[in-house]
Amino acid sequence: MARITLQAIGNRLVCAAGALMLSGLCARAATDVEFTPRLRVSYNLLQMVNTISSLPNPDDPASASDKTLMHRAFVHNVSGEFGIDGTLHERIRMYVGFRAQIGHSFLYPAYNIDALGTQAKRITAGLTESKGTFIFGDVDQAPFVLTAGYFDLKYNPDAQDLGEYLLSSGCYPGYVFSGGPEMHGVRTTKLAGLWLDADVFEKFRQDLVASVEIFVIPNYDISISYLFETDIREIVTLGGGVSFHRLISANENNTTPASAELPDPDDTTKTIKYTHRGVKLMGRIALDPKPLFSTDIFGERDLRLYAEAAVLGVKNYPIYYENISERIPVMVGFNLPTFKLLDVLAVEGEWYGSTLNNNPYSDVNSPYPVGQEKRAWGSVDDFKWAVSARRTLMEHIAVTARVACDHLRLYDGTAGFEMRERTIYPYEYAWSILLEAYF
Amino acid sequence: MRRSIVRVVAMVVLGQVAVFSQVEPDQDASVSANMAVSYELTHIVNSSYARAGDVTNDNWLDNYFLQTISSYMIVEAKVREKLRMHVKFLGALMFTLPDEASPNGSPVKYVFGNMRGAYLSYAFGEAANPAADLTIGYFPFNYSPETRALGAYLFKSGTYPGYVMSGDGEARLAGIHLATRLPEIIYHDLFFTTEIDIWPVYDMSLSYLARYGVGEVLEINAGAMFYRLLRTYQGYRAYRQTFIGDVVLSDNLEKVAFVEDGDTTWYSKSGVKLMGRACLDINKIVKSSRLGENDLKLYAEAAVLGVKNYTGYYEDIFERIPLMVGFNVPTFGLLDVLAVEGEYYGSPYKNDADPRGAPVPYESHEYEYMLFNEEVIVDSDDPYKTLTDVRAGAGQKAKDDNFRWALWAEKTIKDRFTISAKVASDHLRVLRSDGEYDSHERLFSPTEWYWQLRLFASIF
Repeated sequence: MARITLQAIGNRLVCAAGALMLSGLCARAATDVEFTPRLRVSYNLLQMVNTISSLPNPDDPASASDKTLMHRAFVHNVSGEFGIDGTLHERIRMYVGFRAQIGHSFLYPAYNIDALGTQAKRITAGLTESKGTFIFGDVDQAPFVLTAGYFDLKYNPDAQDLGEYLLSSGCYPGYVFSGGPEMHGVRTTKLAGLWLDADVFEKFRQDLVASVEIFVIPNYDISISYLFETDIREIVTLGGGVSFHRLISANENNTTPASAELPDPDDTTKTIKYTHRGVKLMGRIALDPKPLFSTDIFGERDLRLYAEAAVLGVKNYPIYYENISERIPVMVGFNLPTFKLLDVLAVEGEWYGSTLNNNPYSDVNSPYPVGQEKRAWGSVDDFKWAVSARRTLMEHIAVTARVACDHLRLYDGTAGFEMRERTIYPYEYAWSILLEAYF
Repeated sequence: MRRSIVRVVAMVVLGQVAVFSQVEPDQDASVSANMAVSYELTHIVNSSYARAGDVTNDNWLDNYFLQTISSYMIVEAKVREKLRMHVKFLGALMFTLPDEASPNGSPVKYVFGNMRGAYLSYAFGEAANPAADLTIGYFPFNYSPETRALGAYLFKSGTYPGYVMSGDGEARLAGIHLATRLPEIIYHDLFFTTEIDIWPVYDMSLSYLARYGVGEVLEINAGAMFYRLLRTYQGYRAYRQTFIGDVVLSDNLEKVAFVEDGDTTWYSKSGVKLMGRACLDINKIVKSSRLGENDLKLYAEAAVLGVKNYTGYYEDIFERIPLMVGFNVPTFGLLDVLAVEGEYYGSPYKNDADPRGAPVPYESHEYEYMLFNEEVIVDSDDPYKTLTDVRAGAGQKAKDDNFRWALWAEKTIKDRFTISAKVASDHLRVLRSDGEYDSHERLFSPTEWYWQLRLFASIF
């Protein structure tokens, strides 16, 4: 028979009191606090067509007995998301989102060319966003909004698939991404860190971001970025920004690895120290002629012409990074008029003249600031294109269809995407349908 | 003290769950949430499942304990009473079988997160009595609520080779489901689903199910499934690449084709499944107030797992017909359910979904060989030897495993707590580290059995 000690009784009384106090606090807080649940389910169906260039072992293309590994391969993903949007105070909000996804990985077993139809089912779960927001100044005007945590940031509202270079791309090598959380989702960037949104001046918005790298190793380097946007009579939108990529290293030996130090071909007494650190620049413009027309037949996003360009590292380095034009991705997009039949029908094109593979990692799956020279396809992958259409139904359902030769990266069996892109030649493409229901 | 703090935290968390368990953030929408926890203890009493790589070790599962502690979170949103969204998350801590290739014999602890449902449904017509209901996503479907361990063959089975799964009647499907009632007493369900569990994945199937008299004295169900009707290119290539290569014939020809007298029969993983089921609710005839709601139900189900015969492995259609019968023994309210079930399935092959996605049986019962790297191991002092013809190596086990049985008891207390117990020799499969079921079943005769105890509690 267990002894009941005074200490045990005391512990229980203290804990009970604590529970009552906390419950009371929560009850009192409940009157000031609002919680709004968010729910989202999605089904993403994608098929790759003509995707023959992305081989399991690109170092040895001849080893692939069948180069049609990915041709006509289907991918299905289904996901469920649950989130809580909390208003703790008129100035303080928080949001936590949780998502589980069922998919399959083509990498399992790793690069097994015979395993195309045998990829294993993968169920992953994780956060979509986990952030707190604080409003400085007038609550209604919200001149300064500070966001901290893990959040989505989309600075180019027009970009459907291509673009959004400043915050998600890399330096040395300058890799770019496309799409969003789903394989063919709307273009956005996920960041961890701090984001100060300043909307002080009329029609001139500024953003200051301190982000921590958590997706591409070396992890935990801190980048500082500044963006601005200005609107001219709702017809012209200009935007720009600069990012000091990996300005602060978590480990300098990883950001500037000793293994990436090569002899300078022009002066053998010197060495070139390649580094992932660099300065990125971005400029964008959007033209919307609709205010010039006195008609309401067009949809909100019809007729918008937009473009974005970036420099992924302003400094040249010998051998691999001698020509700055090879580090400038440029995209152009146009929203075809659908007269409100669709929310958006966007045609986008991109040119990125890099001579290196658009993969953050080398083929030995390690980050290496020394460039990885392309395989046989040379410059044919410089041009990318995408056609995206989206329609919202009943305010809670959206269907997005896309056909694109973009920087498609597949679900890697964990909660992220593989680093190798799958559509190389302009005739290699994937089509997809994304059905979302959200609340 | 630490446990007390945990209790306090749990109380606060549950309090917050209660805050949003019923919320109406928009005028035409509502959200509800529920949480549940469960504990499952399984004791494998007797099993002749041989450990991989050591076929002489066929008693390593005797007296083996497995445990799983699970938590569920279910969130539903309704918009204008016609549009519903549903997400069900599962998190679990379990002690399951170790990697068979390792020398470790003790259960291994895994923690996993999983999703058991993510779908939206739309009701056509009046929300209270819809003309049709459309569901899209990853959703559960159960046409056989009486099933406790055996049955529900239409969706919980495969073809060529034909395998069956045990468990309750709920199948998890990915795709589209259209349901209607025409006339009122006949339910019609049409499914277009994609295979996401068994290799090769993403093949599409079309299914139709008709249910007459649901909830009445006599319920009759009939269904057909055009399994893997649309083959994805990758699925088609999966086993052809492995076994055929670039040309039609290969060294492994016998695995995908049967050659006899110069005739070649190519197998296909696609097939047509048929299902028939009946449930007689004697309680509704007797109408005794002493009987429990589920007492005196007699139910039976049969299926054909592939109507087409193939020379070689699939010559006899009766070897592809599982039959089950179940009966709810009256407990007069002491228990909610006391079910006894039996099954006969005369397949001569192992009841495993082939891990390679091939349309032929993977390995025989009595003779096993290592297929990893396609190596063949022969040892004259060893009791096992190689076998290329799986059918010839069926042996006694192929007959012993034809009969299955299960006994299930369940009681719910205060609408929130459910205790269930099972004693069975069914198609027991254990959980993998990711929370999905392993393809290998562990019991091979009626004398090999286990018992299982499950405690379930829902919060709201």
